[in-house]
Amino acid sequence: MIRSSGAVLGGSGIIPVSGASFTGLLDDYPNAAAAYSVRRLSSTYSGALIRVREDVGDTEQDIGFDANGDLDVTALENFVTDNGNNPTANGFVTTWYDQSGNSKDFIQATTANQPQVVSSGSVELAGTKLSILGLGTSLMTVPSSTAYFKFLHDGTVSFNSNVIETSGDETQLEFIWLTNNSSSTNSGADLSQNASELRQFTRNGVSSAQRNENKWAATSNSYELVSLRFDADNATAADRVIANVNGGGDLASNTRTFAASTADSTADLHLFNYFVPSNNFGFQGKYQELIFWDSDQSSNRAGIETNQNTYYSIYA
Amino acid sequence: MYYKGTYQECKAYDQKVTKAKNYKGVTKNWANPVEIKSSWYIFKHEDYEAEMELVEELPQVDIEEI
Repeated sequence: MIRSSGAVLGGSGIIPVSGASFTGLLDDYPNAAAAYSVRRLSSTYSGALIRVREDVGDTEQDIGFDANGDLDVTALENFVTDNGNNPTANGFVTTWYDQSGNSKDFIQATTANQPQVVSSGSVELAGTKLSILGLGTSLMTVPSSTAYFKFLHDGTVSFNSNVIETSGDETQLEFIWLTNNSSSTNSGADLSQNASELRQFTRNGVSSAQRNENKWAATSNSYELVSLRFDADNATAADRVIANVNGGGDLASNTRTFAASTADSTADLHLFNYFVPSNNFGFQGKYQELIFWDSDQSSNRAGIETNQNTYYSIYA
Repeated sequence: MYYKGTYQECKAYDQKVTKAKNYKGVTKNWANPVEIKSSWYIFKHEDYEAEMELVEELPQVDIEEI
């Protein structure tokens, strides 16, 4: 399997792009800094959506989208189960491809840390759509991303959108993690869940506690669309980190407000875990879509959320 | 389940499993040693044993440290 310049050559589950009538979310709301999904997001994207390892022979294959733009579940199940010959096989994600055109793929080369997408021959679902399941020890990384994702904490007004099913675990769980451990010289950003709250923050690198932080009530095993706006140097402290859940109004109950930092974070962007793949902090929920814009999308938020809710049927 | 040992012991366990599995593609190895509170741990593969202490979970890290 060869993936080159957004095109995938050979393998099942990947179709030629007709470009005829498909319109994706990124066609309507372009210029994403990075975009990951279980559906095709752009008419100009022709590559695979994920790369999967099956656990019988440990072979891998890229999985693309079908004629509707959905991840090709048939191709995925056929690959993982060897066309039914291994009906209880499992599939794990080695790569979640970036559809933005910026080549910021999430990868995991270590089997013990790969999230799961097929369990005993059947795909993981959230709602009615395929999802990627964090196993606690899961961790995906965008390598060499230290400077690239600085916009999350340097005062740039940025926006990211998350389609998730929250965990039923009651420990602290890290979804997105862009910072080293508690180093006082490390800048970063974060989205996490504990027993009762979801939390987002940007950290300025002076100390662990010096961060802009927003917390709101979380529900375990809840299917949610979470939109996050980061604006770490907004003159109005309460507006530095804002969340919107399931199309609702601004959640801006900032509990800490500190300055932004233009220093690089010293860690790459992580998904499903924090700086090391610890099952104490690993997110044991599901991801279906994660899109970053390094620009303000407040005026587009309603449209983005409608697009996502129409596809995933997250809330009424 | 995790094995607890020295870094060298954990790394040797990863190399043992990785060699046996002969991964191809993006996947390169079984698991990486993790250091927590000055001890090293590695995730256990269900099919491969080692002469190290077996623990259920990694030690808890104080949430406030994050």
